[in-house]
Amino acid sequence: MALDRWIAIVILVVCIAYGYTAFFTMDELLPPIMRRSPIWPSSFPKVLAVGGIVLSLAIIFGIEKAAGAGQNDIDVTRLGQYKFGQALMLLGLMVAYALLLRPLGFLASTFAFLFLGSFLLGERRLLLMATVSAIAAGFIWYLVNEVLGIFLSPLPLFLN
Amino acid sequence: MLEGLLAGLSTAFSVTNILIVIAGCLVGTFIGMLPGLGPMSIIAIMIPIAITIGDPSTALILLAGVYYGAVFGGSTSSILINAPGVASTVATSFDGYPLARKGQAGKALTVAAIASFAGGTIGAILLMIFAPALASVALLFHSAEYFALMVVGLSAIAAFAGTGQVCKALLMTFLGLIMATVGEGVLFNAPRFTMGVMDLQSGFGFITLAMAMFALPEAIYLVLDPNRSKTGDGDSGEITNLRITRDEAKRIAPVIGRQSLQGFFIGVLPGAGATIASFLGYAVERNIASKEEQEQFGKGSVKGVAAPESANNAAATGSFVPLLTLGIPGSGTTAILLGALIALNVSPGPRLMIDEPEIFWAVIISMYLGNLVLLVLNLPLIPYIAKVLSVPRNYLIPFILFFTLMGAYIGQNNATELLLLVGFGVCATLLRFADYPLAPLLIGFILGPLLENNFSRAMQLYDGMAFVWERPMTLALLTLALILIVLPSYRRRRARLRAAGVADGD
Amino acid sequence: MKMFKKTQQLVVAAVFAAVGATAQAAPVVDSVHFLIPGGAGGGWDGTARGTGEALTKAGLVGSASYENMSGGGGGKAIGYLIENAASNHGTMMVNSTPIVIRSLTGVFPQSFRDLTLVAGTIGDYAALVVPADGDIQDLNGLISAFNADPSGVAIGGGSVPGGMDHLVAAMVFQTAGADPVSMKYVPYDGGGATMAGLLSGEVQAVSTGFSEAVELAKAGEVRIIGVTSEERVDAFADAPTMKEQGNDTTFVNWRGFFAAPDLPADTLAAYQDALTKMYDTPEWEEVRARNGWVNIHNNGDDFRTFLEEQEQVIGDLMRKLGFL
Repeated sequence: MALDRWIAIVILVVCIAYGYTAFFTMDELLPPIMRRSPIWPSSFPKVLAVGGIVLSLAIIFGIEKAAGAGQNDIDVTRLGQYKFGQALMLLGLMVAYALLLRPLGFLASTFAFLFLGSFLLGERRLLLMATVSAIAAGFIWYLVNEVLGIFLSPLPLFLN
Repeated sequence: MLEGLLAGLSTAFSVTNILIVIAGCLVGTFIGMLPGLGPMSIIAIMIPIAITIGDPSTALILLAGVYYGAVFGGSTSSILINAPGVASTVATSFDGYPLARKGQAGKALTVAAIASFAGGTIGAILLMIFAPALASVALLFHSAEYFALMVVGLSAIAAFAGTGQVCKALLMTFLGLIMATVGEGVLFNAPRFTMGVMDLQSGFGFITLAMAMFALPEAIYLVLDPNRSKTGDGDSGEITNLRITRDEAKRIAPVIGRQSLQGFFIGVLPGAGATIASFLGYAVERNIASKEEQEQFGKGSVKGVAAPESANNAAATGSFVPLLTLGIPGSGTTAILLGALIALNVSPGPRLMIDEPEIFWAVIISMYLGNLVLLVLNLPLIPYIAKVLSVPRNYLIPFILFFTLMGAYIGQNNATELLLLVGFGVCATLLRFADYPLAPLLIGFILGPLLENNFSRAMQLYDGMAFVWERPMTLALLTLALILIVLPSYRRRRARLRAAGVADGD
Repeated sequence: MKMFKKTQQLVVAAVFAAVGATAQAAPVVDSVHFLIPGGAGGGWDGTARGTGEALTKAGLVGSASYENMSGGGGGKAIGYLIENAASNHGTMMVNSTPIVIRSLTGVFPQSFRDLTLVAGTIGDYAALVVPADGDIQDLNGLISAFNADPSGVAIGGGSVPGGMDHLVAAMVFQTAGADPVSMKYVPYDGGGATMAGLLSGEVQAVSTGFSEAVELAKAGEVRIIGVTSEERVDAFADAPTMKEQGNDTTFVNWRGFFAAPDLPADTLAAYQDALTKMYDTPEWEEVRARNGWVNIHNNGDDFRTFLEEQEQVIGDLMRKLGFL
């Protein structure tokens, strides 16, 4: 089955869960004073849930005729040729960055991210990579923290 | 009025002030290019500096320069790397980025610069002439009218609902609206749909979503397909295509004119600002364009860049109207500017024009100056800015990824946002694989809260839905929305009928 | 422009050094790290940076740094401070009335009792405001209009239902003998939109912070029909208090500083000392005046008593309205 139908199924499930919360759980928690109003916190979500369910069903059942070529320039039939490995590793690197940013501090994490990022993509000029990453990390930290005054913890947590 | 104007001119054109405007524009542009730092945060940061200057006119001129610079800088990242860092430049990326991909980044940036200049300048002229009268018009808008205006804004998604994609576009819009309901709301005593996760209490962040929906999938596509050109075939990064052809200039001129007016009036309304103006501008221009031109929208139409850019600059200027004439901040940015004004001992309000005309006029002249300086400074810089795209892929990609991460992190220091960023980015990439248009999701997300809040307020005040038909302006706006949605398919039908030889009155 | 701040700081430092040790006492605290539970540019942010600016310029504190940690309506920063208490003795967190309200409603699992209370430093009274040229001219006029037609009188405010603006208006109504539960409260997205709603005639009155209303009142656009202070406020002495109109409602939206739990007593004393001395400095006065803040100093135990009282009053009202 085409990818867009799978996605529509996922969205359908999300809408059903959302709608369930809106229709059955939200209203019990509403204090009496707010029940006097003609519109409740759950009103809009209810409408949206119904709309979402109807539309995702429409896509699943192929009610609409798809047009010719998609506006998309990744050819889904040539999926095997694309560099998924690199993409996944980079995404993993981003997750690692998010988790390590505080413990390792901004300078170390950013340096590692930029260095490893270019490495993963195939760059091998280690000295150039290291220099660029270090300068970038340092410059941005300086710009943001010193000049703009927005705090960015530079050093690892245990040194602070 | 004339002497006030002359006084303002002489103040604005002093050497100090001109230097300050230039400095402000440069700083603003540079910082505005970094996603995550929008005009609001930048102005907040510059306020202590501005206050140190002491002289209210000079301080305001500095802040105006920074503001316009930031708005322009935001368009730059929208066009070059599809990373709209500011809500008001999201619409610019719809056509700006495709142009960059075709190797015409320089052209897109130039159109954006000129459109912004025109929008801001026309806005300043309108501000000057109509400010007091407009204030009273703005106050005619109640929640019901704002709601109707948001519905008109939603009609912008029609631009992304090409043949065979109507259901998908609508579903994405609903998904965006659904995501907007997560978290605290203005109207409700407790956060909704947070599932107990504390970080969701304020809902999803706009920057996080914008980065995840626009910048990340692009970056991931760049990784997936090393042959995917960043700048179009055979261009090798040479951005020579700066000049706008005469034909293009003729086409965008009316767009700029219309959208400057429309954007300005939308900006005047407190509660509607540059973002809505840019979406509406895009939607309206697309809907009134000829069929062939309509097809171009979303694929790299210069009109598609000119419309939101004029609209958002004109709206930014328009949002000064409630501030200067009523003392009410009409948007987040003007709220911060209001704080700055008070700190400088300037009390905006109806008395400002009378009591301290030189400040009022200095502000207005500074807007002209700011716009002019931006154009003059940035046009020559565009070729160099566009060169960013010719950085080698191995370095460009980690940097883009880093910028999207920073955009979501700066000013909030919240690592969970980063995880959400990656998660949403993956989802967005999958959606793109499956041909779902992403822009409607973001539009739904941005307009959702305004739609719901104004609707709910109107219902509370009218104890029901009577406001839809009892208020003429609401009815008029809703009808307009309907027309804008139906117009394209109506015209398509007529074209088909005409082609089949069955046309009325032929 | 980027050099401005640094140059300015250097100049200030040089001046201090030049004037000599006799003029400036040694700093009470060497360095303070301000933790701000909200984003850059918000109210908490402005308070922390303004306080830090005054403290450093006056030489009471050697240096100050600022960290924004938004999330969870402030809960994230509170949680962070409590969890990392041991390494955060140099940190002061700014906060205000919402910490009381949100602990009551359970939005945060913690409350102010889990933190060390340093001091409440500034406050903003609340006010009820009407259009200058409207039918309603004073507090009693508002109440009688309400009693005549409860659903025809809408009170706007910048906070959510059950939030500060709503509670203040409800308090005033309750004291006046009107039913706070049937009061129609219409929430807006912040002070600016609220005022727009008032001036456009969409709502008949608004409940907002006094300092927000003062500018417009001075311009003659609106009329402040009541302030929740004990006596008339200097910033705008034309505004009558609730009390003098026979309505004994007082309320202060305070802002103050907290520190990590189990803070050593001498560090706490140093912070409190620095803040107390700050009030007498011209640097503080400049920051205060330009922001329109009112000095309301509640140190240490006074602060605790104040918070507990406010918690009681707010809790009772929320229970009555049904929010709790």
